[in-house]
Amino acid sequence: MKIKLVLFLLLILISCDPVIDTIDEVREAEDYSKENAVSAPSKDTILVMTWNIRFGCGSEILWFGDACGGRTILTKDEVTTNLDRVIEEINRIHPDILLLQEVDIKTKRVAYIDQMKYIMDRTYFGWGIYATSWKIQFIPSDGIGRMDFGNAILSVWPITNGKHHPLPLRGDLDALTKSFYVRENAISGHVTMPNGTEFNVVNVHLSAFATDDTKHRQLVTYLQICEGLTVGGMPLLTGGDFNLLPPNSDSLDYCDEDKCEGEHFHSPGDDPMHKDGSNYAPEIEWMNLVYDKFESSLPLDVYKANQSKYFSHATIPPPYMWDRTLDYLFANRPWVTGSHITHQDLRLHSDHAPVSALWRIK
Amino acid sequence: MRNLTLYIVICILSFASLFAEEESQIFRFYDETANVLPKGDFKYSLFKNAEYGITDDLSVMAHPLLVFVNPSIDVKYNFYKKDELTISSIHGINYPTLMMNSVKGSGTGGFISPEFKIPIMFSIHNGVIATYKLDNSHFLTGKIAFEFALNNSDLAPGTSLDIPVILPRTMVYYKSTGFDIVLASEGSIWHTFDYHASTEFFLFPFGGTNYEKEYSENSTDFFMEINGGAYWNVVKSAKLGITGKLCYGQYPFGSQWHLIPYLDFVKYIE
Repeated sequence: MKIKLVLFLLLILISCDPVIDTIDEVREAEDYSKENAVSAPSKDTILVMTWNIRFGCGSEILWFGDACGGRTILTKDEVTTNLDRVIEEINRIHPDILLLQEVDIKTKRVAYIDQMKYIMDRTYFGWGIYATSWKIQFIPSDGIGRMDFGNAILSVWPITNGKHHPLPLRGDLDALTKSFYVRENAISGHVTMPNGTEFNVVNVHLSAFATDDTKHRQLVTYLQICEGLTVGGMPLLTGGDFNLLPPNSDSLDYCDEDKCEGEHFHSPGDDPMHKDGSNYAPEIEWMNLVYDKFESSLPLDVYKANQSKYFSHATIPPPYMWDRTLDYLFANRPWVTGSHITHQDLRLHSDHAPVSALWRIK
Repeated sequence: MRNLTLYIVICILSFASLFAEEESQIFRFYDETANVLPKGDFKYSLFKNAEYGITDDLSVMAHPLLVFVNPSIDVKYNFYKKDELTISSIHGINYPTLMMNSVKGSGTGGFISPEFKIPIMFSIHNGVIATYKLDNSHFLTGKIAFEFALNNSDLAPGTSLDIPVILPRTMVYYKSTGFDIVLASEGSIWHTFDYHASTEFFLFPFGGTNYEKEYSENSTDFFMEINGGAYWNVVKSAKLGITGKLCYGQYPFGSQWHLIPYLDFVKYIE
């Protein structure tokens, strides 16, 4: 009887998820791989793409959190319409490795659609891993409710050793908000082609609205993760949404572009002087940390020569066009020169454009 | 921890007014039963509805605080009482619009997004409750009620609060109809200590609503709450207890269990 009682109590404990997942340590990434996945043929040059898909919100819906909008909870139809657009382009561009940011699963704001499953079911990828950045059973603010969103790696070759690496929390929030807020992460996996070629992949998303040194601390942690995955000369492919400008950008302050109705910045007496996440001037050198260690699909001189061609983000909805570069691909092997494409024509799909490039693994 | 301390202090303070000595040997229930309070008697607690005996066969029930933000009132009519069995009917009405509007808004405390309009809504429930006396200190209670909602326009699925305790009690506004079934037992354990155990089922078997179309990936038809608690009779007219509520629910995101411990009391004024 006592054993039954203990087992029953254990069952209760096991069944009850934590209200907030604080993600304090490195853990296994969640596996979304297909049961009967068939590996694609091996390649010497692979197509890689990174895309912040904005949880299937598209770019026309004015979400309250980042677009001066009044919307919090999207309908199922809105989400599937936007996700179907994203999926159509993924299948058209057909990358071998896809790095996704802002993927929602079991989240109230997207009608609880498991977007990892939705995308996996409608694309050709056999393997997928996911790591949550913000997992909380109920957020009692603005009607957000349940939240589980994060980053993912999708591959046409088997991914093993999927790891979820938490990055430092924002330092510019009070303790209560911090405990309910996003824990940005890097997700890594080990890819093996049928011919035995192996490489590691890391996908990262840094804090968008931090106003202190948070992104720098996150970058340092991210680079330590990357360096740990290149031991023994292992090829490494990495990228994501860094929320940082290239260090040689001409425009550094986007407060005027991003401000909402009634907001005012840059004038004496304005508090804050800058909009959170829109002034990149204090952090403009930080991407050098990555450029110094890895090869970018977008070399700085190429970017400098035609910056607007590589803009991958806009806060303001269309028809306003992309106005800054935040999304990158890096590796410790060379990229095919001139293969970097910022798919700027995909303006309705997200507030980020996908970025793709060809990577020579051999 | 501070909230827990505050909660305990509130419970203790609530007891400060309770120390009037009574002589009756009648078992005093914590939970709802088929028994109707005698005319003029009153009982109240923190989490259960208060009850007032209008006549010896008719009582009225409402929560003394929540009734102002979530108007809800029940009446209980005893129509059968013979030997050990008591059977009553229960009829109630709830108006949740006020409460839902009060938790709708921007920023912290905005449980419902301000983008939604909350329609004027009522739910009406009717049921039967029966209590069987096993002996002078052990009782079994069963209840079944049918509820239906009347809305002046559709309630957007995005307004639902998908958390335990709340969702099963508001689901009728999304699904129009539902059943509430309770099985409970109460009695004495030892000396001045009583027990209370109950299982409550919330069933919403009739589909085809907007809510189900919006959240079609998971069934949202069934919720269950299992309560088990021990109560100490501080005085004969009042008892204080600790209860564990084990909740199971079919939420729009999938099934989930929660265990919620809480303190409560019940005070009788006779």
